[in-house]
Amino acid sequence: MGAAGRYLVGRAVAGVWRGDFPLGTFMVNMLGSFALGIFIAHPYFAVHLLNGGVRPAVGIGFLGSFTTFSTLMYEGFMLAGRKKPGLGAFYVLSSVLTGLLLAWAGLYLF
Amino acid sequence: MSGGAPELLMRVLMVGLGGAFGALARYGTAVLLNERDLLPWGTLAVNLAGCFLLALFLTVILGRLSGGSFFVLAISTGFIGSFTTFSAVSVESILLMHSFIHLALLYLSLTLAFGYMCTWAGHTLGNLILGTGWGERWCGRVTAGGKVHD
Repeated sequence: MGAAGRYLVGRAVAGVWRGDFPLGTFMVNMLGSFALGIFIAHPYFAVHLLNGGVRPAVGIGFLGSFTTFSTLMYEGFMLAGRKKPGLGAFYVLSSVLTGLLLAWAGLYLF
Repeated sequence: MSGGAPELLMRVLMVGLGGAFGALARYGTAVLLNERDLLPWGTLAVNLAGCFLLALFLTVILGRLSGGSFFVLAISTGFIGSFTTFSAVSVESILLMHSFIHLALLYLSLTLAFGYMCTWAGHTLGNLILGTGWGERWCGRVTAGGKVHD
């Protein structure tokens, strides 16, 4: 289950990372963007998972739920509210740019 | 975070349960709206609605309740977290960029600008609700419900 995986990764990261940058959400969003890119484009998945509901279940269900946009925006908003607008902007923009780069890598490099 | 393995298992189950419903709701919206146009309006719609709902919910609830309760986890991390998605935004943008770079930039700008505005709107409405005392009555009910689990 994507959401449960996201929660566990968030907890694990929170156990070792004490900074203000929301590293847990960042990690799941980057991992999920890369994995969804691979999942959509890689021939292995196209050949083996064409049939049935496996593709929407993994792509939309698991990987879509593993990543989250609302938490990203809320954390960015809260950083700005806690007088850290620079870090908030850096968090949101670095998430988007790194996410794009990883999605591109997942789609076209493998 | 206190509690042992059973409590962690319960938390994971709550997030998973909320998340399953969130993913289903997102899938329903995406199927309805994403195929109609080049821009993935369905993904945009769930992300904006989710931003508003998460900010509203957390502002009202965290004003009254501790963030660790099972109910809060199931709704915020579970349902709303799964309802919105980041991976689809990244992949859809890259796929759009391949053929229509200006549409990809438009899609990203709309998602970010309105996502931030919806978060702000949810937060502002949440503070208004807290300020009126109407939220206090509503949250009193939630607190009682949360205590059943805790």
